[in-house]
Amino acid sequence: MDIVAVDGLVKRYGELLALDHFDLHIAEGEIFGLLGPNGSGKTTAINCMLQLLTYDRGSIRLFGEDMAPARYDLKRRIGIVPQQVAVLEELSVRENIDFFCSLYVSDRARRRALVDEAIDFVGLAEFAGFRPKKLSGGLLRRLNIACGIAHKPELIFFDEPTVAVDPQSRNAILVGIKGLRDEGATVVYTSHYMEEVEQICSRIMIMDGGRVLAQGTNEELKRMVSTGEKIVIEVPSVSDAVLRRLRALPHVLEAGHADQTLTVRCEASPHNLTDVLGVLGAARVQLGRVYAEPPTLNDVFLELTGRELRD
Amino acid sequence: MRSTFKATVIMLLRTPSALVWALAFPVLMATLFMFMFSSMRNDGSVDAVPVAVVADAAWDDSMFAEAVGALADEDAGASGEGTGAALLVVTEVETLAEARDLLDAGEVDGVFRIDGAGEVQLTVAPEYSSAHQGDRGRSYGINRSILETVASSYTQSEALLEDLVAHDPSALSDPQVVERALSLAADTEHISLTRGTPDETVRYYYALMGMATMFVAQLSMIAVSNIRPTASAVAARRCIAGTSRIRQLAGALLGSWALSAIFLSVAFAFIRFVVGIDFEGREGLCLLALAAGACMATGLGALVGSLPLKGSASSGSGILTGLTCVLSIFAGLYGEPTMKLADSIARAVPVSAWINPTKLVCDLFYSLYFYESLVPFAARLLACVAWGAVLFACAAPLFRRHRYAHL
Repeated sequence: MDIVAVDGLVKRYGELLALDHFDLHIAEGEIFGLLGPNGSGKTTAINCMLQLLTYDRGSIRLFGEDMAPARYDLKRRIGIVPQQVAVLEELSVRENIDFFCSLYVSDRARRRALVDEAIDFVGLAEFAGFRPKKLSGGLLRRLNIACGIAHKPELIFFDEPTVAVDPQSRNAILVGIKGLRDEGATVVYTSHYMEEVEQICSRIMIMDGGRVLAQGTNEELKRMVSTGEKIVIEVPSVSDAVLRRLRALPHVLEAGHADQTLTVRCEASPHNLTDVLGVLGAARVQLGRVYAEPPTLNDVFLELTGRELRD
Repeated sequence: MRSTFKATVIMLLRTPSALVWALAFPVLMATLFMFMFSSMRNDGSVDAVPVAVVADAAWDDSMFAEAVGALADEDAGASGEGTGAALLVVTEVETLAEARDLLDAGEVDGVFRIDGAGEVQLTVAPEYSSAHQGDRGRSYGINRSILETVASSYTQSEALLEDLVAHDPSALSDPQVVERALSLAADTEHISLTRGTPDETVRYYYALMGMATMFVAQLSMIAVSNIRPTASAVAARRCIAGTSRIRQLAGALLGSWALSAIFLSVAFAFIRFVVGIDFEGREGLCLLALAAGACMATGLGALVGSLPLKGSASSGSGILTGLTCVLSIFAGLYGEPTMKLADSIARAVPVSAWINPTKLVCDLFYSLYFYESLVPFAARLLACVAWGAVLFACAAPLFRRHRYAHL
């Protein structure tokens, strides 16, 4: 059974079409990534699923049942970690977690144990008595997460939880999300950081302009595009003639130079690097660092939309 | 709902602006009033009146000398009952000329003497004397009245006793008859039209309680703003939680009402016990009045908090502060001119006193202070609760209509 089943969802803001016949199906125990640039409709889709937003057309079923604004029985099984830090400034870390947990769990004794567990989970034990304004950005993000997961939800929406978070805290958050999945939760994870999505998601959906561009596993998505390899070479300058010769090579899809870096996108072939270096050597181009990498989700997005994911 | 109640109370107690407007401001205003009205609010005592007496032979032979001596005696006191407060400060001189010199110099406010016919004579200060100038001039009028009363009372009593001697000498052997004859109140029944002794300054404190009631509306406004989904990210988060918005609203309103009632009680306790304002022994009913006032304020705050305003609580706070300041004019808070204006409006348009929440709360205390009957109080108490209900009823649909609509 799909934990999340969204079909034909349409949401308009006046003239702007925010969701255009959006479909989403997520199975139990998945970490599902919604990938797309800012304004692509990720947060709108989540807010519609949570009934925070009304929508124009389509159906939303969660846990196999129709979702509606008054379905508090379903809402109690859901956790949400919003994009913005949404905690009460006047309450301490513990009081905040306890308050948000109390909106789902009324039994005080049970809640006490859950709050302790959530504090340990996000590593805020030594800050439990602190008010949010005394916490750093990374600690605030952790508090934001603790407030969303303390009640042990079966389905958790993480809406860009790592924005403005230092790399160390980001890694801790990603490890924590995997831990939640291991404990049985289903996770919907939105981000415009492709590396994160690649790292933790079992399936990924790429969105843009409110539409679903592609979905599948990381490998499936990369197989959808013709890019098989990307060669990156640090060079101070490259003439147009050299670029033309590179583009004329077999299997080369595109070659460009920017910021003292030459990037050559190629189809999968065993001799790509040799061919490219041959052209540069013949033109006596001074080479810096040279490396080749497999296609990323950004390459997938680039090929699907014609622009970079972070444009 | 219990956790929302608790969180609301904690949150409001840690919101500086809420504490300033709802708790500190009324106490500060009451303190300000206390200093402003300190000269008006005294215990009714007066300083002893300086008087000269021409202590010649006629004076020494007169009974009036004894009466004046008793009024100047601190141990006997002005009432003659040993209260320890002398009414007169007597300076004895030998001649009328010496007494006039003292009078002209402003050292005494009058001169008592006994004339050739044995009658009491009072000479008061001439217009040009220093007794009429500055601070002395302000108390001179009262002192002159006291001296005139002393002289006339003695003269009346003396005439009465002479009449008794002439017509019923045996009556003088009964001390009760003599006492009743000398008492000015013998045939007078003392009644009061009001429950309390009218005190002008009390009105300002009651108007201040009306203003304080309006200020506590800030609490529910902040509490409701924190649940309005369009107000903030945290409000939106609360709206998608597993507890309904209505239950959260109920908890928030209950929490802000309880805190409002407590804050008003603190202001009331300060006015009652620190400033010393009289509530005619009806303090328990005053607390009931505060609870009803808090109900009305909570309804008002809920309505303003439910308005589709941009920003979170700051816009609502501005509206409530402005409303409080304007409505307090019509409760007469800002001095005598506004008090007269408030009275004029209340006389011309009596319904205005029931519409203006500040005036309504002010009158709630008034009705306890002035009327023996509790009917006027009960009517205003019900009006406060009814206002609260009406405001809640207006707030509810506005609150329900809020929809989160951000991209």
